[in-house]
Amino acid sequence: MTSPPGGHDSQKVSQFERTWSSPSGIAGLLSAVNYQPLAKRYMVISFAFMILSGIMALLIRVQLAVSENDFLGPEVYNQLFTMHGSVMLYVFAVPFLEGLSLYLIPPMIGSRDVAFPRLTAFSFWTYFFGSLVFISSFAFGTAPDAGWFAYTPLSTARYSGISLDFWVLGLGLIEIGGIAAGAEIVVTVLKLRAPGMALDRMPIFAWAVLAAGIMILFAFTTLLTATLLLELDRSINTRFFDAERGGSSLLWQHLFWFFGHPEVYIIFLPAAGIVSMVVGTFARRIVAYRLIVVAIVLMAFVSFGLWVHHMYTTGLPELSMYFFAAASLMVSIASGMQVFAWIGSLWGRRPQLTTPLLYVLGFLFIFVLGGMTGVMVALVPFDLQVHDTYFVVAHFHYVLIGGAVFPIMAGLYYWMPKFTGRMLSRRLGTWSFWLSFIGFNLTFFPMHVMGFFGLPRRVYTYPKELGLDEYNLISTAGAFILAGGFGAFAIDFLLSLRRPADAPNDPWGGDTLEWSIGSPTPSYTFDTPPIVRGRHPLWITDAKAADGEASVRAQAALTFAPSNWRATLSTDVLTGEPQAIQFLPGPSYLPFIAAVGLLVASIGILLKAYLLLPVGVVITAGALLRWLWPSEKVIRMLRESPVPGEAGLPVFLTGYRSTGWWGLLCLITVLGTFFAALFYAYFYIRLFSEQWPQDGLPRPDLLWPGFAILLLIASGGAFWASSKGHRDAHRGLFYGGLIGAVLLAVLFLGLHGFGLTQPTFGPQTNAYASLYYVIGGSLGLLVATGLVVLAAALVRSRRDFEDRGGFMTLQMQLTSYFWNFVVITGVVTFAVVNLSPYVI
Amino acid sequence: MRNHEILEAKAAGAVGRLALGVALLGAPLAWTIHFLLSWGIAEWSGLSGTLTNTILGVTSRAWLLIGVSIVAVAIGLASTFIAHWCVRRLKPLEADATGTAAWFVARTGVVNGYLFTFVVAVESLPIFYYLRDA
Repeated sequence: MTSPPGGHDSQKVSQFERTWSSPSGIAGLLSAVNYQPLAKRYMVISFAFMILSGIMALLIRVQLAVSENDFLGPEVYNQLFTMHGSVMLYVFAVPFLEGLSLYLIPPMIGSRDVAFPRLTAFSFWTYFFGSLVFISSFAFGTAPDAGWFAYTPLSTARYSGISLDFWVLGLGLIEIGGIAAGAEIVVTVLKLRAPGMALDRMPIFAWAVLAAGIMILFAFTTLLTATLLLELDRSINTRFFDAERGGSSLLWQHLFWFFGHPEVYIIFLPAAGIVSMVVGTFARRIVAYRLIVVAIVLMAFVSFGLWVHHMYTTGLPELSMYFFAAASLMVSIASGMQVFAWIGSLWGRRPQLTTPLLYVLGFLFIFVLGGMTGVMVALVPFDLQVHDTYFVVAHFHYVLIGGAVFPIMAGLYYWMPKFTGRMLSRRLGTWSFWLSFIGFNLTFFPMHVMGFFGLPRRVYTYPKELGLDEYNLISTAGAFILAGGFGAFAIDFLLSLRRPADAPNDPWGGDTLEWSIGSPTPSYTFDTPPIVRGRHPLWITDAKAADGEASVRAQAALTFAPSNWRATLSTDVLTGEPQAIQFLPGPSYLPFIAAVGLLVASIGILLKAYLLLPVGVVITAGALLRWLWPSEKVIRMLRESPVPGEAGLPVFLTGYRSTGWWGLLCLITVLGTFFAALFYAYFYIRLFSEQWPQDGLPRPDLLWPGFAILLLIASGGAFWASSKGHRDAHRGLFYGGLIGAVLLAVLFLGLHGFGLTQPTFGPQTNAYASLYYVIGGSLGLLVATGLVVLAAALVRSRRDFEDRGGFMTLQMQLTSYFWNFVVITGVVTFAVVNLSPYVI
Repeated sequence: MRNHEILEAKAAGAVGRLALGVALLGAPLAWTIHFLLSWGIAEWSGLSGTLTNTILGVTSRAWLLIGVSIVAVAIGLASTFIAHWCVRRLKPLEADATGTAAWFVARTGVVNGYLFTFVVAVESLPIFYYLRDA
């Protein structure tokens, strides 16, 4: 790594530091977009929820300590196990790891910040509000009690009250935050790496969170779709999951577990990334880097092909169950590759048994055990015996606590100096580890045996005749010892805050870039962008190749610069060659306001005060529009700044080299997954229906919807002409095409909306009707959103038509991609909803 | 000393980014297509009772699934071949062992290709236990 020699203008340095600082007080709380405070908030809040959920678990264990206990009644018990699972999986595990990733990735990859800072702020606030909605159910005495998976029909309005609305709506907000954070991580890792950090030089943690971020886009969107359908069933009596009206309870299970299984790998992958970093540092090597990357890719893909192993007892066709059994066995190859790589890295070395490494060794033992029971339950005949018993409880706690919590603890001990500038105590850390390890195994190992002896899950007590009192008592004792482990960590952390923040930059001798800067990390992260010369930047003593000219020039230009606006370097996805100066926005209230709008809408649905729904939507839409509307002042400042010229790099890029392109790709992935989930629901219910449409309803019209789709396709063509007009500087073609596209889209919306008012049935008639209206309505919303994007390009062009190769070109490009997506979705929707009833 | 940026650009240009993308992700995409089609056919046929007629003693569902598996394995092997091709093209450029991203992606693609193709093959095995099952 190089730093230019010589002093720097102190005024310039002060201005630079001020540019990167956040406001103080309430203004800072609401408007900060720097990744450090936001990521810390994510971690602190999610960890606090983990402690709360742990207390719930202790209460559960007290109730189960002896047979026929009456410490808790069945209703409260149901609420506790539901909230324990829900909080651990939705409010703690993924958000904490996202927060950890958001804090570590920018310094680890050599960037000053994440790609879209306001998106990170938005993701935090939606997560925070969602968690509040979730947990406030306790305060209102109506905590959800249908399990963390909320199977229908138990979770429908017929059998569950407002408690499940808290669950659905809180979860919806949390998932939106999760998706936003996932997209943030993906684009940041791909585009903002330091010069020289080619793909083969990326830290394994970056590979892991990149894969997890991509998985989040697919998995979380599917859950969001499922919860939307459930809330529609609950609020306005649609029939997606109502078997009496043509719906299917199994549909919920398929949609939920399509999320639910990748979810555990979304949790495991970043945790495994932590393990790779800790092992790499203390063993002073990480063997089989390529195989670990292959394992990450294998896990990312194959984990989406396993979900039915949660549904073996639901009467599915045997052959399809065995596909999933085979896939469930195959995914263990990925885990095995990583485990052997870690063991191979440690083999023959004499690493110091620091607290992080202790937790990693504990992880290896526990996770491998959990993996072995996972291979057992992957087998259909075995699972049929142990399904819904404590054997499964034991299995998933071994893989989740072993596979996620222990690595998280390792990561906390390892990176705490970077967060707070203080080391944690080795003595207390050792106590924390041993209490956790012993307590964990005492708690959960006996559950394997209890499961074999037939103790079912989710029962608030059990008869004495089962003879399981001793096992349960040991398990309960273990739970309190495990709690002691976390207590020791909490004491350690609080005591550390009383010490001065004087931890060295690199207390462990780490190899990655985050150890090259101060502890805690400064707001600007790097005053001088680093140039990376190998996979272990801090361990390289001699580089095998000279730094590239572009990298050296960019580094010099960005040293304590720009001083009056925030910027980092954008580099090539594959090679790490510098491509652009990435502008980064400063503090803004807009993300907070956009999240407040979603909260208002959710509260409106919760309280059935439906007037709040459009109010919330308007607040969010307004904030988003203002957020995405480029500021004239900023564009002028970027054009006038000398920094791009000094660096020899542009500020605006087009095509797949721009971060905006990648951000749009993430958005299209999310929207595409949403529609794919709806189409899946359509065909799934079609499969179970003897008659289609159900109940003798008329088949959908072809003429007017067909004409409407032709209008939409024509608008796509018109926009293509407009794009050509802009490229060729042909105003007539540009404006003609753009206005034509807008008008044709408006006509489509009018015809489409009219078409939705024509059927003689309503969305509550049966499942077919519910699907017809929800898919049609979703398409209408998508086209309306696209129309706003088209209109924005039209307004913008009045000022910037001449701007070729700059911002206007980028806007036209992104608008084109988005509008193409809208048109294609419209065509597919027509094929599914209008054509397919005539064909299949 | 050679310039790292020039090395990277030369390597990426020698094989092209499309080839590298296919090398890395071709077999995983083949797995995805195999999984979606196999599950869809098995579920639909199993629940609707269609595709149960037999040809040469084997149900048409099984034939269809075997066909899908063969195509998926072929795609997986093809992308592995492309990965091998990338490695061969890049080998002369790697003589001074600096290591480029293209070289890494190509070699990773070789491992990916064989592994995912193997997974597709294993996941196809259940079909052979249900050849005649209606």
